Amino acid sequence: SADKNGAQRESQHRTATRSTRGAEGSNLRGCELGDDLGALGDGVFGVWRVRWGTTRRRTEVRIKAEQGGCHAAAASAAADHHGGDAGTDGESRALSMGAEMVNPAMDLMYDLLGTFLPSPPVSATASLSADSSAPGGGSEDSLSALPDQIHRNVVSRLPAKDVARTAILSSRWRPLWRSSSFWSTPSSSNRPAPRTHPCAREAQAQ
Amino acid sequence: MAAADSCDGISTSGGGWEKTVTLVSSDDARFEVREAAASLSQTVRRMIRAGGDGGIPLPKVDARTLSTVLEYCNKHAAVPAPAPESSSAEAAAVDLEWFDKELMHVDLATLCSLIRAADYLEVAGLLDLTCKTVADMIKSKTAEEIRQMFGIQNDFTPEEEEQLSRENAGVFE
Repeated sequence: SADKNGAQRESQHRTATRSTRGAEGSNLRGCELGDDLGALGDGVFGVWRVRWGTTRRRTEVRIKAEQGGCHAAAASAAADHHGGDAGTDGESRALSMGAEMVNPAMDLMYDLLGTFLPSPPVSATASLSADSSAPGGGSEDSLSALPDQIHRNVVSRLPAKDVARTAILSSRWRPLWRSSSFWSTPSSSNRPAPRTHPCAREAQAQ
Repeated sequence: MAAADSCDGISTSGGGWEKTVTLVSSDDARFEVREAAASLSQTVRRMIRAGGDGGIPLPKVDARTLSTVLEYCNKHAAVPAPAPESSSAEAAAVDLEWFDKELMHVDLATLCSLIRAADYLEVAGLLDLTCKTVADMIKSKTAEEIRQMFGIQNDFTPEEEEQLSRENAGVFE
């Protein structure tokens, strides 16, 4: 049984190492937490330290980790791994204090510590891969993943109505509408005739 | 072309008339291309001038995409300088237009790879063609149709969307 646990831990360790590498694109190793988590920022380190022994808290660690983006995800993977080591210890401590007593105080502490988590470097939904050429879910919405200048190139070829429509597609497309060369190129054949507000038009008619 | 004479990455083919260069894709596939065709890419042209050993590395383009880009370059470099009013030039232009159209019959992911490659390799004609193709796909579609076609996630809240529609009301009517 000890062997089996060892093998399981080893495989968890590998997973932790992999995801840490993925997130950081460096040689961080999930098992050497003292040094490496220090590099991730004091907030993450603190949360991890507090939660180390409490396996039943793992889900929450993950949730907090997601809020913290890539950096915290690495900590989550590491916490997962070490949860197995100190699980019994933490479990018994929680039992002796009574779960109802521990939870509110711990929740408060987690919330407090959570505020020290570093903000996500790019986006909380970003891929953990270090390969910037394969963003998100692969070919899914590969169009939005194209650089801004290409979006502008595409948008500048559209007539006014379609340009405005691209602005409400998603927040990714929103700023492109305003910065589009479409609005600033006087020579553009697509340039719309100046529009007047319907009210103004009515006023003119009267 | 003279500038490239001393470059190791360049070999001279058959009759010695046409120089070729070797391009190496991100997945290490090697493509031997006529220099005239490869020079449609400003990026490659600069690298040819700079010289180098064992082919020109293009780490941002995979073999599949690069072969399509080179297909475009080969075709477009083969067309002689336009002689206006000549019937053969006109036929060549029609042929080229047909070729471009056929080349753009690809799925969206491939099209996006081609756009990236054309941008990185600075093949102006291909970038123009691919961006125009995407623009044509967007034209005259509703926002929801465009989202569906390209798999774009609408991340606005209903309130934000309403506000945007109000802001854009003049153009939407």
